[in-house]
Amino acid sequence: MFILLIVFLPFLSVILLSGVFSLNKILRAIILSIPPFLALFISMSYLNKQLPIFQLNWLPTLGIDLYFESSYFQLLFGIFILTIGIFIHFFATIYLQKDPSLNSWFFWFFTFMGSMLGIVFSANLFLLFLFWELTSLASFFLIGHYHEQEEARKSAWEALLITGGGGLCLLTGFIMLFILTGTVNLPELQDKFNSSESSFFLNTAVSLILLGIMTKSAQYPFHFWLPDAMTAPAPASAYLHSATMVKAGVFLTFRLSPIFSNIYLWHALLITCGGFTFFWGAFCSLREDSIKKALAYTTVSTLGLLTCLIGIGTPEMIYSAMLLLFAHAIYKAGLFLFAGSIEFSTHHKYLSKIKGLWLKQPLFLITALLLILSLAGVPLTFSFYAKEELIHTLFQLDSINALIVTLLIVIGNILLVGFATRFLIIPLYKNENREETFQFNLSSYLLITIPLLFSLIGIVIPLSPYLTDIFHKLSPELLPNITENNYTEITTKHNQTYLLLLPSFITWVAGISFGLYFIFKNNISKEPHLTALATRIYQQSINQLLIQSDRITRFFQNGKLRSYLQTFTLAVLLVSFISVIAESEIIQSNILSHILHTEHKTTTYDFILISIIIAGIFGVIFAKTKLTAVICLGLVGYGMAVIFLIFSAPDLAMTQFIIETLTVSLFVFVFYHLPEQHLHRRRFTKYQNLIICAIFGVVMGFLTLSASSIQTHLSISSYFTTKSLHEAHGGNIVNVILVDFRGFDTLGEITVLAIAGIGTYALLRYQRLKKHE
Amino acid sequence: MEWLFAILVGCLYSAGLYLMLQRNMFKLVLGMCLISHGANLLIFTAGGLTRNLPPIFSEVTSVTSQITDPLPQAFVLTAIVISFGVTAFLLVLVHRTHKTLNTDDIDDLIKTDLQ
Repeated sequence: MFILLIVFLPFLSVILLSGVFSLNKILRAIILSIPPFLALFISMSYLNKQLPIFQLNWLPTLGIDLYFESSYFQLLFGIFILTIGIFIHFFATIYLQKDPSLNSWFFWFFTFMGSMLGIVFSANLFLLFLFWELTSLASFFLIGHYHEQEEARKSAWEALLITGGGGLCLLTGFIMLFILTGTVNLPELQDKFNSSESSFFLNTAVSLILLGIMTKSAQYPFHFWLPDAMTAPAPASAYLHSATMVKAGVFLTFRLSPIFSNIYLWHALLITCGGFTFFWGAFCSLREDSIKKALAYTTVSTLGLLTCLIGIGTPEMIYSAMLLLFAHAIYKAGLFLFAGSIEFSTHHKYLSKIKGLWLKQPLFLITALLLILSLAGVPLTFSFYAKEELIHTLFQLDSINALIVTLLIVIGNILLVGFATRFLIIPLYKNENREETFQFNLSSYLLITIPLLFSLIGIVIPLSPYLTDIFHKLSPELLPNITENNYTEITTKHNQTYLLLLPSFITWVAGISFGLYFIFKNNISKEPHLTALATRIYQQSINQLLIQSDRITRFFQNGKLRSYLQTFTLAVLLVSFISVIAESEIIQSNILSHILHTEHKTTTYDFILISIIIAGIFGVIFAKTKLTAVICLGLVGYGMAVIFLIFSAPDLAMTQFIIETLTVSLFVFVFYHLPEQHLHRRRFTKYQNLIICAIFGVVMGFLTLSASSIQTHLSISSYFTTKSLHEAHGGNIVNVILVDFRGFDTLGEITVLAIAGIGTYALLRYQRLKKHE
Repeated sequence: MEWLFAILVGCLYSAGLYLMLQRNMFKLVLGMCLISHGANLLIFTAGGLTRNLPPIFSEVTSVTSQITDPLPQAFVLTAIVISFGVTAFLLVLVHRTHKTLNTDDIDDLIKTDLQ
C-alpha cells in the first residue's frame, strides 16, 4: 500500500494545484511540496526494510497489472528523484517567479515526478510503458514551456517525436516478450526467461526494446534531441535532462539486464552504442559555447558510459554504474541549476559572454569549482569515488573488451576534463569588450544556494561513513555470491586504491591541456558534423512526412464532389464484387428459385407503367431546360405512387402523391428565377462517369433481386399484425406502427422535418434581410 | 415481377449517380431525388410484392395471413417524408449558393473564399 502512496503522492500535488490557484506563489509552492515530502518520508523510513509489493489485477487478459515492487536500488533511486525534485521545485518557483504560466509548470512538473516514480517502482512492463510515455508527454510540455518561442516549440516536438517513437518500439518489444513468455511481470519474467533460448523473434524484441531505451537515454544517433531540448527552462533541464528522465532508459537497462544477460545482441549493442556516445558526447561538449548545451553533451556522454557499463554486465560493473548514476545525478542537476542561476542573474547563455563573472562573484566561483571538480572526478568528491570504483573493477576484467573499454573511458574522461577546464577558465578572463556590470539581487543569491547545496552534497557523501554506507548496501543485492567477509574485504580495499591514481592523473593532465588548447583555438560553437548529420536526417524525414501526407491529403481531399462520389462508389463496388464472388453459388440458386417460384404474373400494365417511369428518368437526364427536368421528375414520382397503389400500399401512395406535388412545386418556385447554365464535363470524364454509373446500377439491381430472395431472419411483422387490432385498436397497421408501436421514431422524424423547415426558412429569410439592407 | 423492379431500381440508382456527377448543382438535387426513389423502391421490393392485399383490417380481411407485410411500408413512409425534408433544405441551399456566387457550377465551390 505504501509503495502505491509513494507513486501517487506527486499526482496529489497536481490535484492540489486546482485548490491553491489563488494563493501567493511562495505559499503555493510550499503547499504543493507537501505530498512529495510525505512520499520522501515514507521511502526513507522503508529504505532499510522491505517494502511490501502491491499487486492488483487490472486487465489480466492483456497481462496488464497494477504491480509495484521495490528493491533497495529502486527505493534509493526514488529517494533521489523526490529529493532532487523538491529542491528543483523551489528553485523553479524563484526562477519562474515572473512567469505568467507558473501553474502549468507546476502541473506538468508534478505529473512528471509521479510518472518517473511510476517507472521506477512498476514491476509490470506494460505499466512501466504507461508511465514511460507519460514522462515523454510531460517533458514535451516542460521543454515547450516558453511556447511563444519557435525554437522551444520545435525542440519540444523533436523530443516528443523521438522519445515517443522510441516508446512505441519499446511497447512492440514488450508485446513480443509477452507473446514469447506469456507474462510481463518482471519477477516472473526472470524465472521464465532462463529456459528460453535466443531466436530471431527474441532478438527482434530485444533490439526494439533497446531502440526505446536508446532514444530515451539520448544515445547516438538519437542523442541530438537532448542538446536541442535546452530551450527548456533551466529547472526542467536540471530535472528531466540530467537527473531523471534520461536516466529512465538507463534504469530500464538495469532492470532488464538480469533477464537478458544471456543474449549476445543485448551486450553488443549496449557496449558499442554506449561507448561511442560516451566519446562523442564528451567531444561535442568541448566545442560548444552555450553553457546548457555543453552540459547536455556531457550528460549524453555520461549516459553513454552508463549504458556501456551495463552492457558489459558483470555485477561489479553494474555496481559501479549505479554509483556513477547517483553521483552524476547530484553534480549534473547542480550544474544545470547553476547554469540556470547564471542565466537568471546575467541573462547570458554563452560561456564567452560571462567573462569576468567568477572574479566578481566568489559565491559563483566556489559553486562552479565544486561542481566542476565533481564532474572531472577529482579526489574527495563522490564521483571520484564512483570512478575509482569503476577503474578498479575494469582492471579486474581480463579481456580485450575490457582493455578497449578502459581506453575509451580514459579518452572520454580526458575530453570531459578538457570541458571542465574550459568551463572554469573562460569566465576567469577579464571582460574587455564591454563595461558591463552584472546585476545581482536577493533572488539570484537565493537561487545560487541550491546548486551550492548540490555541490556540497557531492563532497560530503564520501566523507560521511553513514552516507557511504547507504551506497555500499547496493552491492550485496547484486553480488549474492560473496559472503559478508568478502564484502568487507572489497570495501576496505577500495580505500587503498590510491595507487590507481596514476591513470587518473594522466587523465587530468591531458584533459587540462586539451581544454587550454580549445580555449586558445577559439573556433568553437560549430556543431560537429556527425551530430549535424543526425539532426539533418531527422529534419529531412519530418519534412518528407509532412510533404507526403500533404500530397496524399490533397489527392483524396481535393474539394471536388465528383471525385469523392467516384471514390465512394468504386469502394462500394469493390466490396460488393468481393462479397458476390465469395458467395456466388448461394446467391445464384436463391435468385433462380425465387424467380421461378413466385406466382406473380407480369401484366402489360406493369410494363407500361415501368416504361413510363424509365422514360421519365431519361427525360430528367437529357432535359434541355430546368422546367422539363422538373416535370420529368414529377413523372417519375407519380409513377412510384402508382406502383405503391398497385402493390397494396395505399398509405404510401397517398404520401408519395402529396410529397411529389410539394417537391415539384418547390423546384419550380426556387429555380424558376435562376438563369439556365449549361455546364459540360470533358468527354473523357463523361464516359468514365457513364461506365461507373452503369456498373453501379447493375450492382444495385442485383442487390434488389438478392435482397428480395433471401430471408436471413424471421420477420417481426407478425407481432405488429396480430397486436394491431386487439391492443392498439387500429385497423390500418401501417398507421398504427407509425403513431403507436414506433411512435418515438415518428417523433424523431418530425423533429428532423422541423429542423429542415427552420433551416430552409432561415436561408430564405437571410436573403430577404440582405435585400432590405 | 421482381426482375422488372430490379431493372427499375438499377436505372434509378445509375441515373441518380450520373446526375450527381454533373457540374450543375441543380442536377445534384435531381440526382438526390432519383436516388431516394431508388432506395424506397429497393426496400419496398425487398419486403415482398403482393397485389390487392393492403395491410388494413376490414370485414373482408380479418385473417392476418391474407395481408401484405406492413413493416417495409412503414419504413418507406418515413423515408419518403425525410427525403422530402432533405430535398427542400438542399434546394434552398443551392438557391442561396447560386444567389451568392452567381454560378451553378459545383467545381467553383472548391475554394471557400468569395471571389
